[in-house]
Amino acid sequence: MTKTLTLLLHRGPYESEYADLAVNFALKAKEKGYNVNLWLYGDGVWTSHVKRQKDYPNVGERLRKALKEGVNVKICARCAEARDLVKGDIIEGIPMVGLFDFTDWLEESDKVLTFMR
Amino acid sequence: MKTLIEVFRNTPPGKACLTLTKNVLDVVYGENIDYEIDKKTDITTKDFEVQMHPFPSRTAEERGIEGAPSICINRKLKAYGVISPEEIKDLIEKAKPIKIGIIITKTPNTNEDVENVLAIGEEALKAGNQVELFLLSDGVWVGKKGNVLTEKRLLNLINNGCKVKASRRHMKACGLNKEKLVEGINISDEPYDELVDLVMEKWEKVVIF
Amino acid sequence: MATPEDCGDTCLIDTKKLLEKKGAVSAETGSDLLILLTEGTYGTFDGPFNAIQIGNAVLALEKNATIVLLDEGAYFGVKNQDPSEIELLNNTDYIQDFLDLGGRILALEPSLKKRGLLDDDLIEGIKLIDHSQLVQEIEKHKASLTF
Repeated sequence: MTKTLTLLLHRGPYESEYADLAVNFALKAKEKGYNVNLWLYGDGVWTSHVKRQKDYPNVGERLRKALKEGVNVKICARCAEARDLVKGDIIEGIPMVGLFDFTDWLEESDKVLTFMR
Repeated sequence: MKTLIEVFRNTPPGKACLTLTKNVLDVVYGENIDYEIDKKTDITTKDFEVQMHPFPSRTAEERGIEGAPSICINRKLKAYGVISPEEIKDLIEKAKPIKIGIIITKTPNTNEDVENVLAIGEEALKAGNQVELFLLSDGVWVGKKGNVLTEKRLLNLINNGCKVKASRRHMKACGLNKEKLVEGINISDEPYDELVDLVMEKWEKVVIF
Repeated sequence: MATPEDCGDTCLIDTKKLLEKKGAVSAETGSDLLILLTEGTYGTFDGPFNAIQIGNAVLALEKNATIVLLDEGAYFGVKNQDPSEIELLNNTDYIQDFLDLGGRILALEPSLKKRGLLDDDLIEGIKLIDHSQLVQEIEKHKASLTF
């Protein structure tokens, strides 16, 4: 049975390498055939806000690629609401859900990693 | 990695305590060897470390030991009473080393992460586990030669069997090369590729700092 | 397993109590979720707050969860916190929920010590551990998160 990896991203784009580490790790794990879940939490929700094309490499582009490759990405609805992040502001395909979606992921995962602070 | 067997005995040790000690030493030395089973001294062989502790004691409390005679293997498994050599061998099998991976993402001197990682590494090895460190992002600085906080302890960990890997692209980003790192650190050319393999397949437990 | 006959006159095992224990000769199960909390004060409020929400969610599902306070996380466990004047939510409420729901909170003694914190300074129910006990938690846990 295919193993499952869940990642939690707790930091926003540009402030540190964590957003890039999380998305790159997700992409590589997906490429190697694992089920991959990415939970955007706290300021990590801002990563989904980077949705326009840019002239330079950026984590939004990598996140869009991850979605296309089949990485499951979800945003914590409470964190998004607190930051007034709404559906139209963010990359398409990332649902805003409650914390129990994340605990479901924890339940089904073989390994869990945080990209933190 | 040596198996650690801690034997908890009443003071003075009675018949049951001494029988348990004999059974432990039977497993450690093999039979037909003369040894003094009422001695309190600790024993170290190629594969084992045996420590005698009184009950009650601080160590007994730390292990959650509630009676004597009893043993604790690799600080993981406890067993009470006069356990036979066969049962002891079975417990040793169950208390096998665990492969633990620790990913470090921060520089060493600004917070306690690295102190904690080094201490966790040391204790994990002492408890008979296998430990690997992966230096990612700013974590590559943990491997730098001459860092007063990390160098000695890191070299010690490496000498005691801890594998340490550092991401080449992050070293390059930071202006580091292999010569500037302590001896014994392996360089990873494909950190994401290798780390996914380590996390998903090789390591039984993983923590990130 | 030991029987009373096995014990000599100077050995005093309460074997009855031990025989009642389920799995006395097996590894104890570890935490379903182990949270390593390295941030703690109201200046870095988000991390600890978000961490304990997850902790409480896991407990609500009747799984077990352990929070380990280390580094700045030591401050998270201090008693009598009252952030009302700085208009932030009180960590203590969530900590109490977590403990009441059956969660464990462990504090790394070296982290406390260097901050001049003692057992007495902490919320009741928080247990002090050292690095070797932390390793035991890591050996047995199922999934870990770091905040």
